[in-house]
Amino acid sequence: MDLYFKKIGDAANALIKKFSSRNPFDIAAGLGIHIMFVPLSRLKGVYKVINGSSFIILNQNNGEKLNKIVCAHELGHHVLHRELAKDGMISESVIYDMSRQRELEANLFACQLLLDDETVAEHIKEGFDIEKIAKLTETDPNLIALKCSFLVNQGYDFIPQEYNTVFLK
Amino acid sequence: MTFAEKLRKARKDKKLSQTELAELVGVHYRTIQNWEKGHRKPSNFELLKKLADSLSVPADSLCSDVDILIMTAGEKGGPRAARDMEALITEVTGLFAGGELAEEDKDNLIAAFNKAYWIAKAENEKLADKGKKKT
Repeated sequence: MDLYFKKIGDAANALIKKFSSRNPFDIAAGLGIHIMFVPLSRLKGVYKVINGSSFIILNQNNGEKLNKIVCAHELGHHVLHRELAKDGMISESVIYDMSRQRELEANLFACQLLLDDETVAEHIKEGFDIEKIAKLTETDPNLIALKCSFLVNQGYDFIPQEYNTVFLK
Repeated sequence: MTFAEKLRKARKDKKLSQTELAELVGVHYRTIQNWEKGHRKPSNFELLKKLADSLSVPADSLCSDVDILIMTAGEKGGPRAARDMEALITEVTGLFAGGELAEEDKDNLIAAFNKAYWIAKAENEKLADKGKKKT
């Protein structure tokens, strides 16, 4: 699990450094990934590679905050699972062809991209619960819980929180 | 009903033989045969329109929106594009096969993928001009 966290964390940090931004839209643009907003109902987002070009399709009804998270998640698929997406798209909120492993990895990537260690650690030390921290960081409780696991893995003395590995379902 | 079945019915309704219809449309009678057997579909929209006109039916009564999308792809980019488009649409349809998702989403997603396909193609062409293709 250690190497795992590290690999994903490193990938996220490399991009943050390269583009001087934690904003998944900025990074996607920098990587030449096309982002499309489509009116959808349940489907939150889709990542697909077509003839070598990468696409992130976002549900325009998600709202800004959720779309930032979904975009970061799809970016995770791009960085970690691009090869797989050539044969079939990767979509969120579908049981069809969903591998829990892949989803967890994309969520780990998203939480590393969107949340910086110190800020979250500080909030935890201040005694806030994950709901509150999620509000403060404008993310999602599950992402915060995942971040806790990262921090614990890095030696912080926190209690690992329960999380839903496929919360973007 | 499939395109093949719709075609056959429309032709019989108009009391035309396959040869007569072929003449009206300007194709070989074997083409009509292949279409009615379900082996092939009209390769472009022009042809579909001619066929529909000869049968006095609207074009979209013979072909679904999806068929027309594939046909248009074929027109713009040749048989390969038509095949690629068909594969993409099949993928999306498969996604919705479980019944978990809304049908309107399917149409919107297909439209988005159609757009994406042509963006990808244009990008690929630009790269090919520069001497290096992505795929």
